[in-house]
This record gives sequence, structure tokens and C-alpha cells, in this order.
Amino acid sequence: MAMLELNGLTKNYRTFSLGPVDLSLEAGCAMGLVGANGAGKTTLFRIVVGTVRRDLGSISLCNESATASTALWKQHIGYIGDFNPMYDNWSGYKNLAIIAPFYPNWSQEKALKIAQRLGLNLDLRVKHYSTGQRAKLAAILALSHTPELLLLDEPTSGLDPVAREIFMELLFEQMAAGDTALLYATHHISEIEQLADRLVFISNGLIVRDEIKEDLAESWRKVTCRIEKPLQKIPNVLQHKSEPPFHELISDNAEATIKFLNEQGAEGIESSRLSIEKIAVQILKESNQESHHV
Amino acid sequence: MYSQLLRTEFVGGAKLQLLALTSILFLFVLFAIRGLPVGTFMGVSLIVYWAMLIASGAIGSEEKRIQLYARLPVTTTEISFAMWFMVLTWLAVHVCFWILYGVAIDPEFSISRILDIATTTIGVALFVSFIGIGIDLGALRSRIYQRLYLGVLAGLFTLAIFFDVSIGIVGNTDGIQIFPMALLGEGYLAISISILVLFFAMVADHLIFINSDHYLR
Repeated sequence: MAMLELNGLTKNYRTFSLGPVDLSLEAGCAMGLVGANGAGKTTLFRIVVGTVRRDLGSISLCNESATASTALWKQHIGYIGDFNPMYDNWSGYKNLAIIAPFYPNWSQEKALKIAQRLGLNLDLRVKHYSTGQRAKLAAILALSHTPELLLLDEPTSGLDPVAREIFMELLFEQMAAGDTALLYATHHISEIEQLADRLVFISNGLIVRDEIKEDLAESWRKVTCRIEKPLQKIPNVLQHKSEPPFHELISDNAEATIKFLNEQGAEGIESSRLSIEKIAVQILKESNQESHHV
Repeated sequence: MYSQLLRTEFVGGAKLQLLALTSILFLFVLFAIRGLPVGTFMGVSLIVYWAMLIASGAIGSEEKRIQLYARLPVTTTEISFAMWFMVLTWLAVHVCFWILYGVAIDPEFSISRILDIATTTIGVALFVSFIGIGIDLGALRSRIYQRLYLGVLAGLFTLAIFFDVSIGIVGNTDGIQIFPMALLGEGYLAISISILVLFFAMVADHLIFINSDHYLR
């Protein structure tokens, strides 16, 4: 079942346009949304959550149409945004107490356990919290009602390395426990590398690639070879460095590239895997270049 | 979720409400001891009301409360109603104090004073709704509507002050006459027209709010 489905989602600002975005996120799937600063990740999240109105397109959550005139669909969402509003003059406890009744599945026991694991003092007033502590409280608020859809926009920004690791553990547990779908926006790929099943790349408001992580890791390779004659128009190559007769290529379809190199009579062909981070950087660079050409 | 949202609003502003309530009670006792007329009590009580609205708006704006509500499982209609409910409930609290003061303390309190209270109440509600419209217009797609509206409103208020007409926060020599009541004259017809204007202003504010381009404020 599609937990989140976006069809033709569009938002136009004077200086920036998002979409049209089509996206489908299945139950139990963890999707990494990767993009540079200003690519449209936060706008996309805000539209899905309802803090920004879409211009065109439709959103459905758990097969329920998400509109401003109905709101029960928001009970399925756990959201950490770029900014997380809270009652600053209240303690963490009181914030939990006031938000909890909005969610029928809220578990106070779970909230307190998460707070304990993250080492957050809930007795303090939120206005005395550091950025990291606010992020921890936001994480508790997002996870304690065991949402079916987790929308996390740079959720670990401000967290110290220990808290970041614990937060990722919590996410793994949440994902392992049920059919939660996760959409996780970041520009730090290493964060999502272990967790994500799919990686969606967004650039200048458009989804430029939507890939299964394993396929990406499998097909993208660094290929090295030795060949005397100059190489031109090598299929699927995104980066080519050469000091003749040695060549180093980055290919998004290693099989096709190696086949071509063999046909050209290249010798000593070797291919090695690339890290997801390296692949992501390459994709984003490529999409940036394309948009500048346009 | 409507009742939950109302509870959140009440609890969210509990300290401020307590402070405002204490202030009104203090003023009530102080004015009663000095035997001042109900009109004077109303004027000072209104200052407390405005102060409370401004403080509440400032805190809500700092905490990005609308942004918080927009994320919660409540509709924009529920948010709009809850906010209006708070504004009107607090106005109603003040009105109750005015009537109580008039009946219990002011020897000259009469049916015509009741009319004054009604006029003032509607005038204040109108003023709040005009300001609310001005704020909510800022979240529409184009800011031009807000600028135009505020320009017109500022012009009207300038005229009102120029012609010595009270505009809800600034009194005049006639005592408590509140814009646009003073422009419409006195009596039941003016009240009826003002109620109608208030109704349309509240509906307009609600429609603007639920059609906002964003709730990031």
C-alpha cells in the first residue's frame, strides 16, 4: 500500500518553483530525499504537512486525500521540520502533555523512554533548551505516536554525535517494528545510507532521479583501464580522467561501459564500487550542470 | 479536535489570562472604592484587554503557534474558530465585569449604559477583526492586498482621529464611542448595522485565514 502518494505536486514562488513532483512511498519503505541547499526539500515537506499550500497536484496519505479541510490524515504523520515550533515558556513535559491528546496512538511511556535514551531533561523550560535539545524534543514529538509516515527534514541537525547515533537507532527500531514509511531529507548521505531503501534526488525543485539504493550501488562504478587510442563518447560515463594510456571513469552503468571498453580493445579493465555519498555527489553535480545548461 | 485545540489555547495563555484577570479585579476594586462611573472603568479595562491581546499575539508569534497548529491534526477552520473564540471569550469576560460594575457600583447606571456597553463591545470586536484581517492578508500569495488594506485602514483611522471620532483604543471627549459606531450615529439601527459589519468582517477574516498561502507565521 502506498503510504504517501504525490501527483503533480507544484508550488511556484517568484524565484523558485517546485515540481511537478510525482512520488510514491510504500509502507515499510525508507526513502532518502537528497538535494543541495535550496533544492526544494523543505518546501516539499511543508506542502505535505500542510504548512504551505500547494498550487497544483494532489497528496494522499494511506489512501486518504490530504486537504486543508480535513485533518485526521495528519494523525498518521510524524514530522521533524527545519524549524520545530513549541511552547517555549513551558517545560518539555508540558509540551508533551499538550501535544499528546491530538494523537490517539500517543504513548507517554514511549515518549519518556525516548527522552531517557536521548538524555533530554524534560523538566527544563524549552526556552532554556539548546538547539540540540530542541531537536531531541522534536524527535520525541515525532516518534511517540508511532506514526505510519515519518517525514524528517534534516532531523539530526544540531544533535551531537552520540545523540545522532541514538536517534538513528530509534529510527531503525521504528522501521523494524512495523509498516512505517520514512521520507528522510538530508544532504549528508552517510546518515541515510544504512537506512534507506530508495534514494530520490531533487535539484532545482525537480526530482531528477529515483533509484533503489542497491541498484545504484551495483550499477555505478569507478572503471579504470589502459588504452592507447583516444576515447570518445563512452556510454554512461559521467566523469572521465585520463593520463594516456591510463583512464579513470565514473559510470552509472558499469556493464555497458565495460562492454564498450572491451570493444575498443582496452586492457586491464577493473571496476570498483563507489560509496553512495560519492554517487550522490556525482548525481547532484550532473543535475546542477544540466539545469545551468538549460 | 476542536475542544482539544481550545484547551491548548486556554492552557497556552493561562499565565497571561491570570494576569489580565487579576488586573481587572484589582481595577474593579480600586474604581469601586473611588466610586468612579462605569464608563471610566470600561476605558481602563479596555487597555488591559488590548495589552493582553498584544502580549498574547507577541508570544504566539514568537513561538510560531500558528505554524505549530498547522502541523497538528486540526483543520484550518478549527484553528480560525479557536482563535476567534479566545478573542471573543476574553471580550465577554470584560463585558461581564462592566455590567457587574454598572449594576453594583455605578448609581447612574441605566438602560442607556447597557446600549453603550453593547456599542463598545461590537466596536472592539470590529476593531480586532479589522486588525486580524490586516495580519492574515499578509499570508496570502500576494502581499499587495495587505498593503492596500492597511493603507486604506490607516487613512480611515487618520480621518477618524481628525474628526474626533474614537477608534477603539483612542477615546474622545464623548467618552466611549467606538469606530465605526460613531460614524453610524446612535441607537439600535447603528448597532444592527455594526453587528452585520462585524459578521462580515469575521467571515472575511476566516476566509482569508483558511485560504492562506502558508501557515509559517
